[in-house]
Amino acid sequence: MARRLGALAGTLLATSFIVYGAVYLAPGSPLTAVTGGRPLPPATLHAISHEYGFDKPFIVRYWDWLTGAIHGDFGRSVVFRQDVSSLITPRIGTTAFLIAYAALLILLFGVALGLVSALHKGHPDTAILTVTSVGTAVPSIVAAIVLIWIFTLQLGWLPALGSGSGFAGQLRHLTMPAVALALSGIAYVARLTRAAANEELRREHVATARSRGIPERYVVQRHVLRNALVPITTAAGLTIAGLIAGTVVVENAFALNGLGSFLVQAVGQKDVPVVQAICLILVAAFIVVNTVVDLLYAVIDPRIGFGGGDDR
Amino acid sequence: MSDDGARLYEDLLAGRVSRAELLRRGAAVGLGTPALAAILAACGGGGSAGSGSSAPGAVAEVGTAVTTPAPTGELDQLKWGLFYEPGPLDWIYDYNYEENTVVTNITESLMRLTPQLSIEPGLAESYSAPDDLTHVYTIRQGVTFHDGSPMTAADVVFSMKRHLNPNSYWAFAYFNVKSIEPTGSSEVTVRMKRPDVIFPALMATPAGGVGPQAYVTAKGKNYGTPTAGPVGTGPFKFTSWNQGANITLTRNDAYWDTAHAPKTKSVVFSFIPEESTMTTGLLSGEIDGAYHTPYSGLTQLRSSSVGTLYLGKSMLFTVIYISTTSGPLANINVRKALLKAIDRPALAKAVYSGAATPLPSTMTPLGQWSYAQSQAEAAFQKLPPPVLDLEGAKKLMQGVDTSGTIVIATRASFQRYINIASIVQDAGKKLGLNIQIKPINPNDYGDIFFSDSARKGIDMFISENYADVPEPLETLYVTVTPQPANALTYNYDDYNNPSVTSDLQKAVAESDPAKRASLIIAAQSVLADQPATLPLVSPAVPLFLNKRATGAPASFCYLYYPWARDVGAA
Repeated sequence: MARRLGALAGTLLATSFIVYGAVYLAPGSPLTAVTGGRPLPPATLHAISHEYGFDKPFIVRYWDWLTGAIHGDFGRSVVFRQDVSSLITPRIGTTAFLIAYAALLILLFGVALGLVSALHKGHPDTAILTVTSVGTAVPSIVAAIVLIWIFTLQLGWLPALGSGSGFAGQLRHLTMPAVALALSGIAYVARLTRAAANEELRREHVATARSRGIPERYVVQRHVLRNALVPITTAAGLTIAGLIAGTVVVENAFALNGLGSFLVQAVGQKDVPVVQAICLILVAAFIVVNTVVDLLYAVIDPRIGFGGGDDR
Repeated sequence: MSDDGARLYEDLLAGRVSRAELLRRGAAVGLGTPALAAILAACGGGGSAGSGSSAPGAVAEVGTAVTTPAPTGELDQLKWGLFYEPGPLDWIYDYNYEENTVVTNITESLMRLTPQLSIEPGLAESYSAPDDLTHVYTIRQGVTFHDGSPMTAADVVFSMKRHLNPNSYWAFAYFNVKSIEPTGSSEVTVRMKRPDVIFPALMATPAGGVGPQAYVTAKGKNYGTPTAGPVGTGPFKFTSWNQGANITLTRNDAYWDTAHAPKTKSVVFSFIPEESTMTTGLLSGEIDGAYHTPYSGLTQLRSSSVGTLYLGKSMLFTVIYISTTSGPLANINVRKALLKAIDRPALAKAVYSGAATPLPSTMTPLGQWSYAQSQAEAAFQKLPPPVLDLEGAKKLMQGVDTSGTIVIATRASFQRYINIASIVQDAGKKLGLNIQIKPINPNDYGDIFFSDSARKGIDMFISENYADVPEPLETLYVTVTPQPANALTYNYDDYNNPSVTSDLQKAVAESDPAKRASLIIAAQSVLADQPATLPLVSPAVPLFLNKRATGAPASFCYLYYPWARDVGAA
């Protein structure tokens, strides 16, 4: 575990340097965002550059940022003139809710559809295969547009903008975004579950169990699902980790106050401290999700140890 | 746009092709869907709208509305759409659309922009200029800030002096100011280094904003951020800022201007950067209104029964700035010819869905003239009209050296600029000019305005600009006359015509409006003959209001007028 934490810290340090460098090297200046492109006199440009340290060399700026970050000070947004932590905290909730909601949909519907497909050959299988083929190919932005058209403009059931307040409000507001975000993931996990279950169904021990008259429900639970869980967990884990990147599109489409849309905005505005902080959070979240998947392997199949080969 | 594309576009405007054919041929010549959609939207339903004729559903007299019908009752909540999340609501940093749209309801200024686009006293009860170098403001008595403290001359002096620090985005307004002093318990006097008629006009913007000295000082650098919300004298009080989502203001029941007491209890501003999401929000009624109705949604919203689209009087102008002193564009005849070859009425339709009016050869749309309006209007009639004149253009090009390329910069992925660049490129082609389009990363486009190095290799670039105040000199003066090295400027080609410079320098010092107008008009007619820039159109303010709300002013005043106080139930 200590080694894992060390690797996490190392990854974050490297990420911070790369992101800082990339934003620094990209042309353009944050001053553009601040005035919407209208010019300012040289004295004002100078004063702002000095206030935010744009006139210092790259390595000095990075070092200033790094030493601040170690002490919990992630800098100040140029555009909003606020501490980055106070900008980011309220947005984490929306993104976390959205990802958790979408992840739940993926696990629930993805696995259920895959199993139904594997266990009910014929029409159900064909129908699910067709639907999931389309589903994997639908980008979330298209899903968002179609969902908004149906459920907001035609039926008037769900709101198209904002994140809502309170659990019920958030659930209502984030249903369409979560579905749009989860759609291709559901389809992917369903297809993978189907393949994994089919593979298990063909195995000798399943045939043996059936021939011995063990009830089908028990066979599926004990022999098929249990063994298929490892590939399913891998696929679901990767898909869910990938959702972190997908939130960018969905949050914009539904005007949600999440980290993804904020990242896009901050990159556009070259608001370096904000870009830094969000990238680090996303990278950390990605690593954590992957670690959780690793931990799950050990639970699902005790033969797989945690922490890599030498620990076994 | 390719050559074929341009021809197709012309055919369409002339009514020679149907929509179906446009889509087919458009795809064949490699026009992207957004470009085709823009063209189709611009041409209205019929697809045969020639320039000048009224397309179905077009709103009459684009750019003239200043008000909307008066409300009949109170509104509990007004839900307003902003196209981005504002920066700090500290008036010295509020220099862009949405910051001003919000803060103008909280922090008021000495003077005020009216819906008719004139300037009237605001927190100053009266204003006088005993001589060209002295401006005296008599401060209104009995006005309190939202924190209960009374507004004093000391608050006014403190607020104005904040702009003397170059950190203020409005510092440029104080460029000619020598001193700011209280000259009585309710009087503030500003003395100038040199006469400057733009200064008193700018007191209607946040450059003349007034906040409470004690509170602003106590909050320091956090003033105006969500942790230390702004405090002013306006009709609405800052209540909450849900970061990334919305800002809520509530009615100030102690508002001093009792004749204009707010009729809405609270206003919620939501941040909606995606155009299609904004359109959906307006169509579904989740948003009651927006001053930045997306052009991509205009056709849909215009025909919607959910509310009304107004195309308000504006001070906006779309212009091509010239940023080179060599090559074909250095030749005045080339500039004139190019302008003649750009079909500005067609551009207003194609690029702005008809929500813009073509500009004759001037950068100062009539909305910028708060004085001498009839004089300005008569002068407009004498300027070369904004119609396509290819023959005249070709005549001007006779014997002109057209060798070399002209680079026009556009903001990549910004459809309006891309479309304008294509139209300009096509106009150039007809004159034998080789115009190349250089798409610039959207984040870097603004740098062109700031830095010489960003303009390197760029001969001209497109801008949607505006005057803050209805004083034509505000933008004109800094664009067409030489400016000191440390001043704000849009003069990117070192333009210096002796007669223009002399007239406008006199105008900036001329306190008599009629005389000032004559000088500006004289300069303007020289500029029409010797263009410094290529003025194209004046976009209207696209205001959409849900049918449940009304009263919002329709004009460009929404940046510097406490507009939300006028909104109520329809």
